[in-house]
Amino acid sequence: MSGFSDIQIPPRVAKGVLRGDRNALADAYRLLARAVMNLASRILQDRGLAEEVVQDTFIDLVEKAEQIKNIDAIRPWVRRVAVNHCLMRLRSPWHARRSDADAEEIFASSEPDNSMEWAVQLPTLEQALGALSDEARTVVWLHDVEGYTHKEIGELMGKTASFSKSQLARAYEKLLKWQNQLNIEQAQLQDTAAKQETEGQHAKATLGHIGSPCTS
Amino acid sequence: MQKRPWDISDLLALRDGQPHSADVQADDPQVIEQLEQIRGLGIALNALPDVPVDDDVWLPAMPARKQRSVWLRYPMATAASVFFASVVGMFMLFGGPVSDVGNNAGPAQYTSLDSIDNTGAQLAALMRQSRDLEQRLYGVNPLAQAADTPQPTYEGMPAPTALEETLLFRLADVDGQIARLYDAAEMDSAQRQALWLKRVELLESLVAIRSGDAARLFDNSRSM
Repeated sequence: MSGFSDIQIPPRVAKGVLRGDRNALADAYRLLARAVMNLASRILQDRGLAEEVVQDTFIDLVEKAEQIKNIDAIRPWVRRVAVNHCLMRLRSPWHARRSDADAEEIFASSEPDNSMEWAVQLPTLEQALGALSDEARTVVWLHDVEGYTHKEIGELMGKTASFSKSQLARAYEKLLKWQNQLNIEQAQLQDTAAKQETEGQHAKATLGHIGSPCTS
Repeated sequence: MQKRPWDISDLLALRDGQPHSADVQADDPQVIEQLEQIRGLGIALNALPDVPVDDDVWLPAMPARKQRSVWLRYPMATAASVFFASVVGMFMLFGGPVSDVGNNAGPAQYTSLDSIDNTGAQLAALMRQSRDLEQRLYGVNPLAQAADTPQPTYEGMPAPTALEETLLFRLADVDGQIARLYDAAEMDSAQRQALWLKRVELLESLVAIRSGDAARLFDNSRSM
């Protein structure tokens, strides 16, 4: 997956961006848009909103590139603007109306012996990530994928470093629980499938025996 | 079963090379196992697939950078000319200054969508309108936010009325429909455009309601 850390902006493009050169800005978009989209999609869990964040981030780059002090600061500047646009949307009143509280309930209600619950509802890591609370998911992504420190995350979210640490721990507790349960369910599924196959073969063999012509 | 003397936050601190509880022993088999699981999850998160970006939407509509006006380079001269022109103009037209309070609450002027041929550019224009309207609605300045302050403030946002609530719910519904479009095997571009247009219309209605409130307040203060 393309993250910000993998991206190198050639000096020619970077200098052009600071000058406001249209072609350089288009090149910067081609280089960075995917990383912005990945970040926004994973934090917001909404592709439409993420697309909006991509657009807003690059409009800011076009309009405010002169705020960027040097060419090495372009990538972190774009990332920070994108994160802020995501956080703004998470705090917006109508995002709260589409709260992911129901998704969080999946984690809360699933007992370890409630088989098939998670395999059906959250079959992939992407979906498990989406079922975390907005804050926990944001912290996981910013810390573990984008490499922000807890102090930086605390500042971005208007909270403390301890808040970021505790959100990360909560998120991992849930993700580990999800993974363990999913492993159990998948093992059960494989067992069931293997049993059914054995029974099927046995039945076939029996039928074959009954159906074979009598030679006596 | 004996309770472990450490928790996930200790393991995460150990993973990240941060200070952690002395009870976490790096050679404890249980710690090793959990740590491996945690590292595995971290690797899996980093390996999630790319989310595709629709280049056609933004690139054709990329706004030109606003050039710093010659007037802004000489602020004193500009201020003097503006003052002179406004005083002369007002006296020639009305014989005195006219207040325009209350006239600035109307919707902002946008580029006419009919003038944009490209479908991607039309969509991008709708998205910009949507962004601008949201900013008007909530008084948030994302640029100031992005550059300086860590947390946005929704200045003076009053509690929504019943009508606003209805519009907000419709807006949430449109957002949900837009999100679902991306889950489909193939993107329905026409539908996406229609939904963004609907979103802009709903936001315009919300802005109009808020502006109406502002105008009414102004009227009330004049009649007092």
